[in-house]
Amino acid sequence: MPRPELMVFQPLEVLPGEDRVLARTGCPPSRRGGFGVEAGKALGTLSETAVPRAAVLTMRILEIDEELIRTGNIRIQSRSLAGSLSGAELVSLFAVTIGPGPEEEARRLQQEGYHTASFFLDGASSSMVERLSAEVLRRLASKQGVHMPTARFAPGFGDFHLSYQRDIIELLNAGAAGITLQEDSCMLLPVKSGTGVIGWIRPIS
Amino acid sequence: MDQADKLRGLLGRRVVFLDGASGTELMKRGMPRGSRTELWALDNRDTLMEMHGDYVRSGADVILTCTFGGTGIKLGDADMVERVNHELAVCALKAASGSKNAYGDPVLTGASIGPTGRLLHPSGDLSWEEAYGQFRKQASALADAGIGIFFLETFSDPRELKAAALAVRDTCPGGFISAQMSFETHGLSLSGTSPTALSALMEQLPVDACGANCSQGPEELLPVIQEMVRFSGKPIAVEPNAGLPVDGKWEMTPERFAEWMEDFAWGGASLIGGCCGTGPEHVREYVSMVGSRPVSEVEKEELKLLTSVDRTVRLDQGLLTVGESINPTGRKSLQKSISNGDFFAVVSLARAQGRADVIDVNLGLEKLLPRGFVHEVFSRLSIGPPLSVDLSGPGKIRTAFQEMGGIGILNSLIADEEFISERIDILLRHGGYAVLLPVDRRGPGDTPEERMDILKRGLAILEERGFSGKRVIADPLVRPVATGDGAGVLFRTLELLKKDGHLTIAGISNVSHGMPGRGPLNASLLAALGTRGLDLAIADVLDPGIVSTHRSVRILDGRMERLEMKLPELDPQSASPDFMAILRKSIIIGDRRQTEASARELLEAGTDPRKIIETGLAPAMEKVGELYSRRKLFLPHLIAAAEASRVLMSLLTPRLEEGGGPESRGKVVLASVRGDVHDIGKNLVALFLSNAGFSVVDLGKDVDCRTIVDRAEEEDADIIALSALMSTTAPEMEKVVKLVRERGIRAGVMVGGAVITGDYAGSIGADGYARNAFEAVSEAVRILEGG
Repeated sequence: MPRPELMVFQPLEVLPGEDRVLARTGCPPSRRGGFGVEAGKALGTLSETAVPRAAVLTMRILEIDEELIRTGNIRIQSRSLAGSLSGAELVSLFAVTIGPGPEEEARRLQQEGYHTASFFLDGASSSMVERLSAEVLRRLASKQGVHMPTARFAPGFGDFHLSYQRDIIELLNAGAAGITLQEDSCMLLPVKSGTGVIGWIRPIS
Repeated sequence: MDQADKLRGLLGRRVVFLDGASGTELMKRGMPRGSRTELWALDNRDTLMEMHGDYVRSGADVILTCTFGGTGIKLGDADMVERVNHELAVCALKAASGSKNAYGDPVLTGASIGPTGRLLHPSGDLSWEEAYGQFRKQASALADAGIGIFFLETFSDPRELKAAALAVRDTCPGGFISAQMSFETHGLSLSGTSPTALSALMEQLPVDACGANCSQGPEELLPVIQEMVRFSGKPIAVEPNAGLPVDGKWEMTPERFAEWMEDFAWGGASLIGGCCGTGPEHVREYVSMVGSRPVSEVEKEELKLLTSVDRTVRLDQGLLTVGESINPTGRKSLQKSISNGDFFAVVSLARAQGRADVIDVNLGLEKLLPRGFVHEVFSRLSIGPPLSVDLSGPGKIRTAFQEMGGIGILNSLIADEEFISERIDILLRHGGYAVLLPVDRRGPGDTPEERMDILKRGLAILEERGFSGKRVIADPLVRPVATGDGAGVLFRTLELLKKDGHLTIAGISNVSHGMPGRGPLNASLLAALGTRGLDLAIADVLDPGIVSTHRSVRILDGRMERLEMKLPELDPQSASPDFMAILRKSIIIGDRRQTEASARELLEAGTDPRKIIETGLAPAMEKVGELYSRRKLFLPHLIAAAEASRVLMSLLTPRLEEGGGPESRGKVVLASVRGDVHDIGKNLVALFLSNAGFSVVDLGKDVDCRTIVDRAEEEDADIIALSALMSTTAPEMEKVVKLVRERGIRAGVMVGGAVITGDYAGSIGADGYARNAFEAVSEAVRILEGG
């Protein structure tokens, strides 16, 4: 059984683009107005408060059919995930977080009445989690050699139940990256965290 | 299995990756600015092959030929089409031959086909047949070389896109065709076509996929694609630009671009690629980021739409009106206009019925129609409400559907094999709905049951020929009450049709034929049928009673809101018409005939021509500018409005000269700069400046800086106005500014064009910048006044 790997990132490595923040906060180009300034400020705050980390584990898929995947000591019942991993030999499970700093700052801003700043910081933080997940995929892809990725999938998509986060967090020993799970709701702490699954396909010869 | 079938098979398994741009990528690899990409690529095959090879290695499933500008018009020489397209296709096929992509699937080769660069009649001088011929020739050369996959990219006019799609389909019956348009930041094409309208049209045309490319960056294109995915049953293709060029570089890094591409994949796009500014490094990133995944399942919504180039009308959402006034039966003046070949009279009548949801066009005795009349009428009515083609001859019907550029109605078919066979292929080819009458060779059915039997027979004939019953609009048949028929049979037939879920249409005015006081009777029938679920009423929308009854039916039905904004209407019913107001409205809606008629009325009443300009033309064009900037009007409307203004000015100018002549506001020397062969925007600027009283010397396109400055000096011009569409030709503007300053010429330099910004204009030392033709006028005035 391979051991999970801890990946550490500098905030600037995974800082999202201003366009992603504005899109996430409901400011598409046609309704952008002067909100670029707010997005820029939020990104500045993120670069000072975020502590991006990831826990990653890549394993062989032991069994897969139309609705069941078995890897390591996890069995996942999900037609959506099985479809996404179709043809994959390997699977990477990962958990990412940008740490508690950004959400604490957003809460402080909210309490002090800076609602717009808080809103944009929250949006920027979510965008950063996405960017961090993409960066994990890039790092994994660069190590994979011939294997090519499937789509990045996550608990909560389709019928891939959120409760599988419990197994993933445990298997990854995600506490080392600072990620824990609320037992009752299966929500992650810090809030700006996420988990994901990527399959790896060997090209048809 | 050929390449087209391989692509169809691949799409059944997963999202397919297309390559990136050719033009901008070749530029990165040394192609000089202003080169004709296709010709340069042929002269530099090593570079071309290297680019194709890099795309193959980047993981793309499909690489595209470097033939975007491969029509005879774009190449500038029809004799080169066969050789250039054939050789470029061979290069791409060779580069992909035997290669496998990152997932081990064979790399396929598709052809890129772009628009001709000329506008279709009446906005420009290109006929639909000529456009079709251009694409047919290019497609033949590509198919002969072994191409079976075609991407029709960056079209802004659905009429031209349809010409390209049909030309390719006729050339390559089994080929894979993706029909794509470019959309502006406001989400519509330059012609005013919505993504929904494009999806609906392509649903009915013989293409495999549709989509969007170029435009701006991926962020702007995402809502366009989401809309198309929702309303299309066909795979959707997307190829955004890498943002916009900033200081000569495209703003989006491969990593940032790839993140957006993942959003497209989640959003349901099936074919994902890159347009301007993207290269192999972008492809490598998005292939990895999107990964191997089946096409996302997105909930679809089936819409029944009638469309024109710029309008969309939804069927089965309450009662709609079809304006019936274009029908010469019993209208001597219209008969005379038609026999004289006066198509502007027909267009004017259509514009006057602007409040109708659909316009019915019946041109009377078709054998007597002047040559080219149907072509003129339907091409000019391609903007405005969708059309109902009330013609009988298959040749004329074919011309009408070919020209309209949207989804219209064929009015009508009878339940007879021969009659249907002669006409239905036109709808299968061009798209459209068919009205089916409860009539066969023996005549109409007398009872509701007989009518239903005849309609069912007609439906069976249509479906046997591959025409879906969902595209049939059944007519319960309104008979004149003067013949002794009550409306009972009609009402019962409508009820039976609605019970079976059919779309329905009825000619309301038939009921009062031969009766006095027709209006109230017509309105009563409209109310009765409308409240029984009739979908489309062919009626006299110039009758206020019909308009108010239609409104009442919609209120009762709870469907008052309009799908789209309509322009203000003319009011021909007015007892004392305000011709100045009518003139303004006529200009706004591009009605040349009504503009001229109103101006003549005003002049006959002794109105000073200057007053007509000041209180008629000027505010109308100001309104056009405002509607354009609010994206309520689009390029074809601008051209139509400018043409109406030109008609007005040609009428007023001799009278102004009688009074001492119009004073020129200043002289402008205008040109598209060296290397830039785009002149649509420049021509509009010329038209608007002329209409605004400037004397314009138009030097054309692809003009070198010395010629421009020499001519400005010779003409003692007040302003030099320069246009550039491409980032590669924009630096030519700076050369002009430098030369003007070196020679100490007094003319101010004003710049504009798709890629030009105010900041750029400032950075090269230009005196003015205009985003569009309207701003060009105010900017020219500002420069003259030294503001």
